Amino acid sequence: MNKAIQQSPKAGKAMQQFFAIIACSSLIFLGGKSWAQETHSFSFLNLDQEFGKPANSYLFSLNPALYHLSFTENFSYYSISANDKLNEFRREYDPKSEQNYDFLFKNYYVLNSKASFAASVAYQRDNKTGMARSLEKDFYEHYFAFTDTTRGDTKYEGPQLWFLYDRQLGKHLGFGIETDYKIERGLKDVYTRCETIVRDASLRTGLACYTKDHKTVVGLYGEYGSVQSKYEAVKELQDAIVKTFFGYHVFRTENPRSSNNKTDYTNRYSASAQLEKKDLFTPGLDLQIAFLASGRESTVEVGSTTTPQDRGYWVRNTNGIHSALSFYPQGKSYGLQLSHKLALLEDWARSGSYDILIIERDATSNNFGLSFFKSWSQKLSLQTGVSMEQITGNYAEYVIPFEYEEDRLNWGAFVEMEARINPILNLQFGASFAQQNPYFYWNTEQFSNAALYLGFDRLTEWGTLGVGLQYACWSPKDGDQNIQQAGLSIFYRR
Amino acid sequence: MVSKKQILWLSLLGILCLQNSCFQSKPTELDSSMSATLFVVFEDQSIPNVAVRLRTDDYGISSYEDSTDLDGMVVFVGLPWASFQVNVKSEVVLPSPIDPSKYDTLQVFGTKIIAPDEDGSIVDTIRTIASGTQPGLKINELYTAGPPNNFFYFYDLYFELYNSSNDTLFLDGMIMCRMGTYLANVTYIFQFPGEPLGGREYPVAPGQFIVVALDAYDHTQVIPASVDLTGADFEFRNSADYGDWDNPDVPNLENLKVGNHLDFLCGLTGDVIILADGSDLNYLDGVDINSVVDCVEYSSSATHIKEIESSLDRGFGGVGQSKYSSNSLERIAPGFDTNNSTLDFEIISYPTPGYQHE
Repeated sequence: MNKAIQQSPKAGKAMQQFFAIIACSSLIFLGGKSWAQETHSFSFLNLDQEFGKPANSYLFSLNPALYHLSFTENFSYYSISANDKLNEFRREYDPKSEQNYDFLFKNYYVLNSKASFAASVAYQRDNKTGMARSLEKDFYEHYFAFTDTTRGDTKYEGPQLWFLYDRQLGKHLGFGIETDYKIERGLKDVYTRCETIVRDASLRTGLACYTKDHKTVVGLYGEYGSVQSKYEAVKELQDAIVKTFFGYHVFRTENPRSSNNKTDYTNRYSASAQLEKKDLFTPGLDLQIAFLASGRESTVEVGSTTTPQDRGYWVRNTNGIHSALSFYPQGKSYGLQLSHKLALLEDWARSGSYDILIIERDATSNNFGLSFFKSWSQKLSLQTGVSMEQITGNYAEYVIPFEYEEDRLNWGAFVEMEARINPILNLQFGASFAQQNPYFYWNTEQFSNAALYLGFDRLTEWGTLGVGLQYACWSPKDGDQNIQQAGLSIFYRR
Repeated sequence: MVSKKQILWLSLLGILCLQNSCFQSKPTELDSSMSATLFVVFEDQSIPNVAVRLRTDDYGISSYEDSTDLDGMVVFVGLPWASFQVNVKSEVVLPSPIDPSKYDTLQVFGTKIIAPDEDGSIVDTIRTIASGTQPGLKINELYTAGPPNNFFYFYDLYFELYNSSNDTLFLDGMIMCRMGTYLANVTYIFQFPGEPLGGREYPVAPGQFIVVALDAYDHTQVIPASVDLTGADFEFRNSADYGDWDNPDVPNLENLKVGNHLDFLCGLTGDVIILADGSDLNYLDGVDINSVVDCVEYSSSATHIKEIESSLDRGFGGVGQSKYSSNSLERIAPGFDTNNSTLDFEIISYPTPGYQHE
């Protein structure tokens, strides 16, 4: 899978510079996984990403103008995955178990030397079983969440379409446009039989300037997204009794009605600038930096469809810098990458009735990652790494005062191996371990997370067929109950 | 000459400025900063040491309670910004207006809805009235929501009347009506037995409760969580409704409306009920406003548009009441009446036929 790497005469000197940077940076930055429910994402599962290689320009920056620089050959793949998650340990509004099924078809065509086109169609189905009262797909992602009084099963499903077109406007200028459209419908199987419809559309346009050899790239993109989420809880003999939460502790019992509705109107804006420099001091040493500024606003209305009432307005601003320094010397069978993510998050929410601040959150996340790649005679490849993240911040609810001082440290380590059994058969193995200090609503001090991946891919006369099995377990520090997830993924790529 | 680096930083600055200009401005005031200064008075005299309770439907939070100081003032600070209903319910000892050397003990009640102004402070006066003010026959409780069930059973509805005067009053020939929009529109009209105005056969003693049932039947035989109304004082009866239950031991209110084949059915969580003296029985042109003894409008919806004339009921009670929940609507104290059902009534979790809830 990995191409032969050529020897570089400057590699030794560059390695010294590289380790000096790592040593300095390690003193400053910490990083890791942000949320307790995350686990290491094994690179075998990312079909856009080549094993053992650093993220290409597009995957790093998400600038559509850089797509043709990142993918030079046509490809298409189908992917099906199924995951079953058992939440023995769960929060108050989490489901007992979840089953997720995803289908994805993606195709990429290089139209000519100046233009390329990519498209994907996805279909997702998420079953949430034994979900206690939450009418939201994820209660904890919302400051104005909607609940009812029953425990039931909710099924969410819907298609997602994605298109990308990019074109070179000159020798040194590229333009790209990317659009994403998703519809999801959810239905709860017991009273209040809440029906959820989410429409999520976004448009991203980007520009990129690059040198003729593509070793220096400067890019910019802007994105606008619009999400409309509608919830309708209906009566069944008894009126629909629902609550609207303001944060995680205070709620309002809405007037019982034959139909109680909630609508979230969300606008997202984001802009990003990227800088990429290849062969910075020596061949193989690449620097990637991306600046991101994004914001989203949501207006929440609850009530009947004819006379909805304003329940609140909230804003999330996220600013960040993502940088990565990679050293994959030509002619060598190893590579290193140091990455850092700085994210500054600011949330605030206003009451729907008065111009008053009811929720506020500020958080700073510093995530530092280090990975190492080594290949032996192209028969065995290994990638390993560590990451650490320090999150500090403050969350406050003001209706009934509640304050949470956030100071969390997460770390993780992983190892991934790929063995070439013969020219057409590869075996893959991955393992990861992490310790995470979760957010206060998990009601535990620490999670230990272990994950395993086992898979293979085989080249056939039609393309490559791959199968993978994944297992992950989250164990809280206190208590016997845990969270387990098992998954199967199958892909076909050509 | 502007360098590429400068262009990059200027772009970033522009992005950050753009980000903040897209959204509404962040409020500067934090919640839980509201204060309420309330003065409690009875007949223009401050009342010290009286418990004052604030309750809100805006949030599912417990009520706030404090007592007035020697000047009759109570100050609540650190309240969430919300609309509150103030309730004062206390016993006060005051010099007797007849013999100032003696003291009278009075039950006083006061209620008012308060909401913050722009700066989050409230200064208001709660005027209390003594129990027995505006005395007379009152519709004291309306149980219309029905018991918990899954087959639309709501036939255990009843109305409770209360005599808040010091005199014995008589129900002879009085009428109870379910109203449409305004007094001109009568949906149902049922009449107590006896001669209107002059009859003396159906007395109501001072402080007595009267239960008027849809059907004087033991509804617990149908639904255990319902109520036994076999002891009701009256029941509605429509002889044109052949299936209408008639308890022979309970006197009937008979239907007066020609062509009505239904019993006295009304909205589970929204309607208008009046009690009138029976001097105007010509329902085709509505009910004479001067004959109305009491009127109650109720609705579970806070955004409900009022239906009856404000001179009869300035508000409506029952906001938040749920169908088939056993909820009932009762005055906050027996016969308490300010002609504003929003303030006079509260939702109780279970019906209390013939007695007042705690």
